[in-house]
Amino acid sequence: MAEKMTLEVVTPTGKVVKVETASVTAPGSLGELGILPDHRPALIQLGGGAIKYDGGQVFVRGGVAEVRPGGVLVLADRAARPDQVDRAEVEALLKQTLEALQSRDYLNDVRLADLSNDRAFAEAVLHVAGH
Amino acid sequence: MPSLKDIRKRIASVKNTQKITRAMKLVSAAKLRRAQDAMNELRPYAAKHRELLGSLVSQLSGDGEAPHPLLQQRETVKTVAVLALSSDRGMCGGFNSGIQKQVAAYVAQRKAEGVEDVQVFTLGRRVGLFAAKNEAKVGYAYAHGFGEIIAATREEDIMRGMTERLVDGFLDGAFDEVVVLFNVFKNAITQVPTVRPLLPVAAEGDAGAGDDEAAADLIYEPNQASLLGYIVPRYVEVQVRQSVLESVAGEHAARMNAMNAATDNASEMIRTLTLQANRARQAAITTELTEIISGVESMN
Repeated sequence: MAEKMTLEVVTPTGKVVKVETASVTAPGSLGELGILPDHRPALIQLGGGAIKYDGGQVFVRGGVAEVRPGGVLVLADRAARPDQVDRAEVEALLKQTLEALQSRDYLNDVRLADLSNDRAFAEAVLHVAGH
Repeated sequence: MPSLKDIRKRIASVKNTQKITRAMKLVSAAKLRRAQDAMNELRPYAAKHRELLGSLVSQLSGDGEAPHPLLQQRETVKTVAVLALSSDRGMCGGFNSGIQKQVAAYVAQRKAEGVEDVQVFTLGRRVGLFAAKNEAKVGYAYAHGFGEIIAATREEDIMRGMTERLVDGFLDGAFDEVVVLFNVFKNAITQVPTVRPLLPVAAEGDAGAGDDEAAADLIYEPNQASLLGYIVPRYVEVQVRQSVLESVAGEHAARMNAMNAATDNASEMIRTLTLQANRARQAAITTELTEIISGVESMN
């Protein structure tokens, strides 16, 4: 059994991380899920939040994870390493998102999903930065 | 025959122009590199999306019904939306005029095919101005274009807004087809104005037999239909993004080439003018000498 696998996070503006890791925890759209090496191939829709791996994490705002032999490939709408996030920007995003969620005007399913992803993303970032 | 002073003045002016064109060439070269980087960064993301889309569609489709509204072919095409991309500024050879010609030709062609209404959406000032001047029906024109698109959130929002507008229009039935018209970036020398269909999304569901087996064995969470619903709009966005990035890269490449040619032309002109200046100088010296000699001779 392989002990390590590759985790790769790709966004439209380039690769955010590529690491060897023994486990991955990802925010699936139905809930958090853990992936170990030699996981059965899967295609998983992601929500917003933190993808954790050995010794680090990245924040994503929605995407798709493909589990395949040898590793996990994440296609994220947007992603950021902890050193790439700007706290003030994320706070502004959270505020804006919460307002949009509360106003309830013009929310189709897609928009709603995007907003909740943004919210989860922002909360994950602030939670980590708060420590 | 222009005087020596006039020629020298012209040489100086051409030299100044050459300095400007050379600087513009260098700036474009740097911007081109950045634009190409952005294109390369998008490529793996786009390729993976295409693959996933193809495999999901081939599994979900059957009995003629498209598995997602954005994939549905309309039986009769009454209205077409054209998204035309150009640059904001000129000085880039035939880059914009090529697009303008294509827009006019495409609109005429679709009208001839019996399409009732062709709406032109434009990104970039040049094609926007063109569409406004000609009778092409302008759906929406963004005044500013994408010279500095890369990594700027404002442009990202514009691109998203534009995509959303087109997708919503398609879903509402305002358009039956959407195409993008832009300069395909072949390489740094060639850019080809091209029409690329955007909606309905064309998914190649031609995954090999072995792939199908592997795909059938996949776990899908939450399920295939919902994943497809997630991927299709992203795919459309990626397509638009890719077109825009190619267009931006093409713009800088075209400007670089145009400025390179202009710099060469200026060198050539300086050479000819210098020759003329030398000839004029020689003539002046000869005249002076003749005058002196004949003066001396007359004294003897």
